[in-house]
Amino acid sequence: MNKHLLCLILGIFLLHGCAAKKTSPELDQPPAADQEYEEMYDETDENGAYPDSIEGFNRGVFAFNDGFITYVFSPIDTVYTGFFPPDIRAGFGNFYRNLGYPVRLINALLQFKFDKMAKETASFALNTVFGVGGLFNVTRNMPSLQTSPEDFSQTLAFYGLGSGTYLVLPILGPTTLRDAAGSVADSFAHPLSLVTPDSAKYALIGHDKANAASANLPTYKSIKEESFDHYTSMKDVYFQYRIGLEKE
Amino acid sequence: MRILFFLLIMLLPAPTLAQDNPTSYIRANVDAVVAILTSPEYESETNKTEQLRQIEAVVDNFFDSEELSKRSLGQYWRIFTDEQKAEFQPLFLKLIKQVYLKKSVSYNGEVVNYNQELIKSDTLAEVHTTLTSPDLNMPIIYYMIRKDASWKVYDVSVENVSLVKNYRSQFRSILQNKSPEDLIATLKEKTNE
Repeated sequence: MNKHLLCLILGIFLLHGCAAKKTSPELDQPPAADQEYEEMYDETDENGAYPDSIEGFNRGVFAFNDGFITYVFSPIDTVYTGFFPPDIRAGFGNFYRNLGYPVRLINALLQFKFDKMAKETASFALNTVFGVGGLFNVTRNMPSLQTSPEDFSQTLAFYGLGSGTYLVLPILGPTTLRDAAGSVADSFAHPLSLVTPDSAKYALIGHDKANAASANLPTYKSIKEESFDHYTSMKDVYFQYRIGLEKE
Repeated sequence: MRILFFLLIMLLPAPTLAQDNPTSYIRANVDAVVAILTSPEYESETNKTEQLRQIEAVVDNFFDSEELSKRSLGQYWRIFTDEQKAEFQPLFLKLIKQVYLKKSVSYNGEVVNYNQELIKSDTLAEVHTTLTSPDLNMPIIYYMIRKDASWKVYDVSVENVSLVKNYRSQFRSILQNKSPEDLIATLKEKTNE
């Protein structure tokens, strides 16, 4: 508990330094660039790149993670996907997503997104009652209930905090300082944090993460295959996806 | 004289309705590809190459290769010589087509919903779609440009991740240390040319 708090405080402290360094969007434009080809990057520095002040370290961890995915996670995933058919794995994903409702609700509230709170609450109620505790996503075909998930990192962005540097964590993968701090904060509000004993709690959290990673593995492989610079491509995908979420 | 002018206009190929409207252009192309993918004619393994060739023929005119290259290279487009630009464009288009083909063969009965069409100007438009299946709900946006009669695609974004922006990040990181020639060589390697 104390360790988590320390991480959070340290994270926010580090973020402050990064947020202060952020330049205005006008200065981010490369001087020689044709205006019409340069769409605005929200989190880019003067070179038009995403903040990555510890690139050397990140690249090292990224290479380690890639090895881990290729030689450890992929073989396990083959067994896992062979054992559980796609419907069951989708059911696990639906269950954990539904369970994360309090986190999304609190963060929508903190950003005064009342419309999202209503959508989240309606989805949670319908999926819990008619989707057998959230195993089935019965609201998937209801366009009026579709919304993007909120988390604490987006709340911090809402209040003007910059993303901080890009960070690749061992096993856990790509994140930023703000996203990492946000995840720690969100974990306290997640119902899984209430599970006792600890061994059951960590087993469930581990299964949630592994099941999600298993669903994303084909995308990871195709990015690796299609890219010229795998590290830069993944970093770009991560930032574009996160910035897209912040805007919604 | 006036009659001659009128006759000339009449003789010009009339732009078809499908090309006039960004959404129907996307729809026509997507429908054509899905029709080839689901055709029983290509069920057997021996016909798979033919199936790919058919899809490739449809996809051939889907993208605007100059616009794709220009926007993916961003500020570096200017340091490319005319010869390098001419060499880069078809190679990059080929790579994008390969990516598109690989994605399309994994088609598994997904349905495309056309949600919104944004006309940005006379020459720029966005078509917002969602790809849905029992365990998927994926927003896809087609960014389109019209240089002549027909609209063409210059960027595709999936879950807010733009293809062009992604390649631009990579090309920027490569061209900071390497020459356009090196990039073209890598591109050739990637596309097996």
